[in-house]
Amino acid sequence: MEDLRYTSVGDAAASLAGDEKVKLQVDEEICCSQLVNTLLQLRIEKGISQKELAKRIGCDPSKISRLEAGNDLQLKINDVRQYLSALDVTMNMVFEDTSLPVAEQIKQHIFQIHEKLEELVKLAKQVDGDEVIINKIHVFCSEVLFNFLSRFGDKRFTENDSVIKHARPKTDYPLLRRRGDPCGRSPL
Amino acid sequence: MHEIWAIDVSLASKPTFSRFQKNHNKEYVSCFNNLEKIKRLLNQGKKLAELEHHPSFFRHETNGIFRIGQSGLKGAKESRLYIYPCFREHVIYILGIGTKETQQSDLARAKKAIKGIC
Repeated sequence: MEDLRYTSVGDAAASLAGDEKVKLQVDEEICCSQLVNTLLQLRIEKGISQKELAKRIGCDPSKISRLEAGNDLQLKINDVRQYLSALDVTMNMVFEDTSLPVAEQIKQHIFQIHEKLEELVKLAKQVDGDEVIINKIHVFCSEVLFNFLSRFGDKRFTENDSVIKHARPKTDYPLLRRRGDPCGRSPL
Repeated sequence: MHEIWAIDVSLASKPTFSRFQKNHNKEYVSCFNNLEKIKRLLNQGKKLAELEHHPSFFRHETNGIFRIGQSGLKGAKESRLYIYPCFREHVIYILGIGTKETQQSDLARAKKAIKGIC
């Protein structure tokens, strides 16, 4: 008996059309609409109408309608920035050079983690300034950086480097001998 | 954690969909892409019937039946994909597809189709 329930929109579209190629077309279109989907979700989560958003941006509501009705390839970066800004959402762009050696790519990720942890510290300070939490974030942050640099550090990371100075643990916590890891294996 | 919605095509006429896809392929793909956008919102637990902030391609017709239009296509045929989201079953029933010209009869068929579900 033919299955008449689907979890994938592409499968449903292909089944109804009686043509498997339709699934590829629908899936491709969906794939090209990820950013538009995210924008739409953010607006609806915040309970803001297209009209209200347009008012905040200072544009015609039809522009919002067109943006949400299109796909990612039709988006303009400035429109995305304005849309998000009007929703009080910041936009971060991440550039990852996948042609770099693996160690360099790991470095990129480690420094991104470091930046995120610093943001966490800022937030913790904003909330209640709980020093214990802030210190623990710093310890964790230092551990990750120190262990990473111990293993992957090269001539560019010297004792005079501000990054490694910052990374050097400021506690007597045995960084390379973590609890539950008697061998002292580095997390990296 | 919200329940993932399923899509049920048992109430839809396959020959109608097949014919529409052959005649208006871009519109067909666009309508289903927009269905995906709605499905994602439902998967996140959004109560679309209660929301006042629908995207413009999504409109409530009658008796819980919604229509999804094509979008982002220049010179496209005005198209409507009729659906019925059943919140009890977490199922989106696909009811029909057609153009602006056939909307009266398409909607009448859709209303008839939902009798007996949910």
